[in-house]
Amino acid sequence: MSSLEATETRQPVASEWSGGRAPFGVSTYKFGMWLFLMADAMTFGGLLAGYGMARLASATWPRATEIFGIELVGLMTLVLIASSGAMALAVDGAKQGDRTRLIRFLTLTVLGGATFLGLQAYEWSRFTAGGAGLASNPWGVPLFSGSFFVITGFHGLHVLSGVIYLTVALLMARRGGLTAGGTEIAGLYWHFVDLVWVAIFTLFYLI
Amino acid sequence: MTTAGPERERHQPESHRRVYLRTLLWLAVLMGLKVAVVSAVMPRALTVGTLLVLMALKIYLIAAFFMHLRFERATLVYVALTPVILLIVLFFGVAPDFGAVFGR
Repeated sequence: MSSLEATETRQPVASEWSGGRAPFGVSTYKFGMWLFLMADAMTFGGLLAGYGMARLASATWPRATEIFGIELVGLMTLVLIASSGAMALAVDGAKQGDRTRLIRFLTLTVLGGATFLGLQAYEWSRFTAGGAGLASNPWGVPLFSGSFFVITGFHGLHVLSGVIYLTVALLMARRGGLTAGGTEIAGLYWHFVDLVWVAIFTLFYLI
Repeated sequence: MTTAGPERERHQPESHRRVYLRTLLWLAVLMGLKVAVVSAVMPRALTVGTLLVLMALKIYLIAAFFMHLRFERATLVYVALTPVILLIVLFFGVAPDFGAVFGR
């Protein structure tokens, strides 16, 4: 069978399965990432809704800003927002075919993520040194520290995964093996991690 | 085959660099506003309401510009909105029960 005949045989099959149109207008990989993020958003949503219920059920609730210090949490938020901005610029660099810009901003993104993790480790160590545990704390509201460790821990794991993911992407970019589409998909994950932190920062620390 | 200069320029995707930088600036401003609201002496309901609005604005900016939803088809936006709607249903579906049980 010639290659032309093979192409003619394959085309109708692809057409039948694609339905002749792409309703979301994005690649399968990108849509896959979106579906993953939406499933993940529901997990975070469930955790935050559970936290909200815990607060409703408790007669008292400690003021998180006084315990953790607005300066430290504010700095963590700024670092994560800045790394998200760097990621956006890395995606732009990849789309423009500017490999130097891609590598520079991807490096900054990874450094931002690692700094955030370092600050979070410091925050956790200070909190536990003050007597807080998963099921008890000096403020007499066990659900307060329980919610804190579960929600920020789950988010921290996402940041750690993101740092590993982006480090691999960075190594690929240095070898010239990272596509613009691949960078954008990695960026979606990182921005989602930032977006979730915005919700945690407001709902857990500020309110 | 490599593309010639002018043809390559024609296929060059539009840069969103300025949009990203502006978004980053707004995110930093909103973050500063949030800290200011927490530090200000205001009625609790007003503080909570303002913080929720600022949070929603920040989430919108990240999703719309950093995650490009502003430039995607509406169908993808609906997919992205699904968990938000489900979360609202979950919270307000369960909250009355909690209110009844704990008297709040």
